[in-house]
Amino acid sequence: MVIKATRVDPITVAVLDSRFDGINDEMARVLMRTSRSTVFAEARDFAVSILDKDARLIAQREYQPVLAGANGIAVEHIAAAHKGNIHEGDIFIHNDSYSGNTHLGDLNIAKPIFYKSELMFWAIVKGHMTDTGNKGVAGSDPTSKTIWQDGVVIPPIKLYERGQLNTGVRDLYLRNLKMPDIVWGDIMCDVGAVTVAERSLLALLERYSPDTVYGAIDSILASSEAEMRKIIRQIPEGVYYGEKSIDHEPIFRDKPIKVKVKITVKGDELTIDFTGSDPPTPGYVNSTWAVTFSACHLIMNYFLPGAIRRNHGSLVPIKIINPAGTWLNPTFPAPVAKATTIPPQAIGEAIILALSKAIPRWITAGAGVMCNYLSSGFNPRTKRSYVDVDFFMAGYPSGGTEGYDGWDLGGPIFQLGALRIPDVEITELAKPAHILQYEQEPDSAGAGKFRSGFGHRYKVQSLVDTYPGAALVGIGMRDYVCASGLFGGKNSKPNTVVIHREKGGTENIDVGAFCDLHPGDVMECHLMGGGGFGDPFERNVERVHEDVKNRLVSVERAREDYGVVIDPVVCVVDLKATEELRKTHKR
Amino acid sequence: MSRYSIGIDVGGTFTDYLLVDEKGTAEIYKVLSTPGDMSRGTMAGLKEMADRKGIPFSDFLSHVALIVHGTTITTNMVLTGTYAKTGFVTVKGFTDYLNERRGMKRTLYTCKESPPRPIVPRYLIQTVEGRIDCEGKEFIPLNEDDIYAACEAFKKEKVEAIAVSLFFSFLNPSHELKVKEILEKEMPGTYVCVSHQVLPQVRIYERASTTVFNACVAPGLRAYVGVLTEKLQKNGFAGTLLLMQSNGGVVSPDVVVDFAVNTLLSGPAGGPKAGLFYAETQNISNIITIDMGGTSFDSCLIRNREPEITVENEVGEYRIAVPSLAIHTIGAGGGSIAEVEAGILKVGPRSAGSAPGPACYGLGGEEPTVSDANCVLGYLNPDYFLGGKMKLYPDRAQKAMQKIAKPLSLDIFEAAFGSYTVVNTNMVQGVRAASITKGFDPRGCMLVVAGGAGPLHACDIAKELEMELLLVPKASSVFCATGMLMSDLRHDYVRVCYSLLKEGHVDINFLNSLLQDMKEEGFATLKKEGIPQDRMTCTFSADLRYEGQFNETEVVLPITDGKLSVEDIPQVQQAFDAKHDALFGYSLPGVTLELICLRAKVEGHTGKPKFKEMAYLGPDASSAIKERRKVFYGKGFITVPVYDGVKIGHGNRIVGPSVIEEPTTTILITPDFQLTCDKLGSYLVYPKGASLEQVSNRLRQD
Repeated sequence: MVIKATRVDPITVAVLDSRFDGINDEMARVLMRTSRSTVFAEARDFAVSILDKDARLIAQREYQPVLAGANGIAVEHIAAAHKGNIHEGDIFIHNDSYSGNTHLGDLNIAKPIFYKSELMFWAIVKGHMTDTGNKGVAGSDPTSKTIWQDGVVIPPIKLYERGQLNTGVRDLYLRNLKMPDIVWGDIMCDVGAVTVAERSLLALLERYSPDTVYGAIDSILASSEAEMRKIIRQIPEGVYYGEKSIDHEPIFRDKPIKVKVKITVKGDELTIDFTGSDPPTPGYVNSTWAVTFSACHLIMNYFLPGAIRRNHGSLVPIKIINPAGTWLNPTFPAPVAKATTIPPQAIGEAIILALSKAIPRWITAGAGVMCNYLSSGFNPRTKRSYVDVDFFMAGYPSGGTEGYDGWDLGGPIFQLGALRIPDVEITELAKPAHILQYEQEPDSAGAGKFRSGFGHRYKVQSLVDTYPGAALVGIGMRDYVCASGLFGGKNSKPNTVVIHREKGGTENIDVGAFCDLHPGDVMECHLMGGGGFGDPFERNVERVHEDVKNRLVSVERAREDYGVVIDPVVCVVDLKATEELRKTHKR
Repeated sequence: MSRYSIGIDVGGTFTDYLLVDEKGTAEIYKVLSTPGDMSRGTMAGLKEMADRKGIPFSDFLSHVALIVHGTTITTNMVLTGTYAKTGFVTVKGFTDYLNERRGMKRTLYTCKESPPRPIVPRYLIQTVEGRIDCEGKEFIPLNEDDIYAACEAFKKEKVEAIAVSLFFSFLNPSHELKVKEILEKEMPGTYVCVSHQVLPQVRIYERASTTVFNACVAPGLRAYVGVLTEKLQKNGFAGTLLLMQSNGGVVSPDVVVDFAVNTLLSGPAGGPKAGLFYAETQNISNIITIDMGGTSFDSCLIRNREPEITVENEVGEYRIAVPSLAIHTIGAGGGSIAEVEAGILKVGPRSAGSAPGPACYGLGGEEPTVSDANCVLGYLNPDYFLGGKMKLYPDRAQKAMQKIAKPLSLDIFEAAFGSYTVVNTNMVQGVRAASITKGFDPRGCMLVVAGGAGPLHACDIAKELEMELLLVPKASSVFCATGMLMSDLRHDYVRVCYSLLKEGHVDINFLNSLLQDMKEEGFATLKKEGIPQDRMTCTFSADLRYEGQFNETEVVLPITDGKLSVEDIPQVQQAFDAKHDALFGYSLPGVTLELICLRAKVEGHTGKPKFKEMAYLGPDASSAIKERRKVFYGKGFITVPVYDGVKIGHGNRIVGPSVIEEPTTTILITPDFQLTCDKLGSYLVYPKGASLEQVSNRLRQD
């Protein structure tokens, strides 16, 4: 059967467009409802996509945006590796960072979908597994120097061959994991999701012909591309530069690692060029090609206006130059375990800083950047091992932007508010710890005419030894990594993490290190705010007053940062004194 | 004089009434709602009934045996922010989890968006020291000084209601009870509710959010119910007053004020019960009800005569986790706006609402809506909208339609039909979400169609889903009010009981004591509401999951002799595997199940009104034709007969394409369908060439 992409009427296009979204929702629902890991069920660290037979991204549902942009690249590699040997009933498994994936923790399950013996679609789930089979915790080993230390590498291979489970593949993989049951449960979730997608897509092909469906796909992609070109044309032409660093990498720790970006806007095309960024690092903070690609698109979509659809069409007008041999496109076998969280934040900020000069009304100040805690051990209450990615520490605020304050959660550029912050009760049922505090920290927001959201104070007490391991990962312990304020808005302050030992003493912890907890130890974290936007002395007085009334901004900071004088006893604004103070500031 | 039953559905704009007398004669009334004092509007409609019958109001009311009252009063309080000034007490160190809503953001890819307004502003949130662990043991004692400090702050701010939610209170309520005791002692007259009583189940955000909403709306609901009861009694009413709840059951006024949150999603809750009533008339047990109004489209699956219940609900982006009818709502209605977004035609969820409304209303609306499309296509009669009470302006609808026709290079009729098709697709998606994604094939169901706008779109929806039988009630515009009269008293209970579901782990005696406990509580409440013992029923279910999962699936417990036994476990396991496979595409037979909680549904069955049957008129409906009109369908104009619905009776057959105009709704029979009017005046719609009997029989076998 030769598919002719005929021109399809706009109504059928609209109908099919809506159906593709619906099918992705149906897939996502399977993962959320049936997973046995907090990573899927609670934090929703996954993305599902439907691609056409040529691996063009048609539609996706991204609960974890940084994963989503990478699904097309993964399918391209899977299809290429098995060219001529792809059959009805096959289901592929894959996690290799050097064949189109993000880090090894994100496992791909992809199903080619056949209609009348012809390949028509791919459905793919990329989801974060709680274990990758390395010595570290939840896939993170700060001492990792190669991808083999990141975990078990799976090139694109068949988990199911013509509908038959390859038990050898399953057994070999699971035998290398500490948490085989949880991972297998999540793989079965993925298989369920792509099966659900297959059922719906086949019904669609039956109802409309393949010619019509493909004609509609072409129209959808063409519209999205046209829309993206229209938006880019509104950006002043020119060349814009930005750079941003992360703290260090965990092996040598002696210097910041830098992203350098040059953005060229010409007509309706935009080129993002990372030439000149630092070389690959010995430690695991490297990005992968797929992550860098995905990060660029997601940050652009975050601040560009309009209803941009994230599909193959809207990707086309943005060119990415990412030469091999930088930490954003490292050479095999460099370790990449933190690819999805660390590099995207620096990439995003560098792009923001570059384009802030071009599109001040669209751009946003920087979001809080993430450090977080991974731990594993044995839970005597459930009599089971546990692995925990601490997603309380994934909740950082976004920065201010013209007209809007930042949100208190959902800031970090890899997640954009898609990640669900944990429930204290569910967490305490799953891992042996007491969560002692999680609330907003007063005076932590980057001040601005439009301030950022507030950072958080987080305290957790371990009830057991975190054996075989625990690690603090991420970035943000140093001033140069903090969220950037724009146009007079203030930067945020760095993250701090200290451990109060039960046996006495307090230790400061840096990112990229193992740090075990013992029964009774308390980890206390101050998780940063975001960047402010515009001069804080121009902030609406009533909004400053509201923040003071809500005990989020102190009377002192209201005066110093915002020039608003408030009586500390009755909490009333002294308008006259405020006016005076703000006048002095202008002079 | 006859004795009456009245269903009242108080909406934001209109209040609908269905009055049924002993002979089963039904009358429809509609009055404007009166925001501010809703009881005025409610009473006005009752007064109108008495006036129309020409009898004194108190005489009339003294003959009313039953009033079932559905209200969106609590929903509106939340949407408009006019609920009680509410304080919230939670655990020290956790001030913000309520308003942070776990960090969920509506639109991922935008930085220009504000979060929803905090449900309780931060300065009204107080925290107290004291902790219970995940096994119910105290590990930090409760600091009573913090409670007194909270009281002082609340008094200073003059809060009217207080919600309390502490960790794991459903396992050990001692801290919450102490907080409640001190608050009630220190602040008499202030409404206080605690989370383990409102929703005794795990997940702090869901439980707290539900409890806070309960506190927010309880004082307002209590006041409303008080005023209404007083007004009714003063005017001679001595019958029974019942209120609609989100779970599809009704409840007495005394009981509802303690569980005000149970009414928050009660607006559409009468619909499924109405659907069930009509399903019974056809002896069919699987149906899907759809209700298309001005801004939203509701669909609900009823399997084996049992509407599905869910705890995954939202109000204004906050979670409400009390059991509610699983009504799937999307933004599609007569007011949904059609626009070209990034080159592709989209319809809704943006809505023109009732002001300015669709362009064809002539109230200043300029954007093209679904109603405008229906007007341009000729489906709506500009001179007979709402039975002629409202005039439509087709020229304005045509002008509005230009806005999408131009960028799509279509003429206005094609653009209008495109909008019609796209909104139908969205509604099909809604029905799919309510059926297929729950593992149920809509082809085995009858489609019951309600709402003023629903009957214009239903044929295409049914065709797309390959559903072969539709039922459009004559009273489709007061569908919910009908359902209310058909509802039973219902109370839901839940008890948390973690255990692996296998011998040696599960304590069957303990489970049976919980089941018994819920049943007794339910029956005691029903007794208080005046239900005799022989009209009470109780069914049990369990929330289960595979060991290690984080979400549960509810399975009905196969209890025959009133008690669960170890021998029942394999049967429960099989039922769970089957449901899991249907819902999620796979199952894991042999994997141990975890029992999370037990649930009981306790019902008190009330007497239902019976509708009067019509005389048989035979198949010929030609005398009901009032005109022939050109309508646009598919690729061009066709001329169709237009029937006066008032003149159509039992046995009449009508073949599509045709239009039927009822005073409060219009029905479009597309070229693929035909219909027969049954003895209650319902339109049974089925494909051309098929036989009604065969189609119905097929559905009865499913």
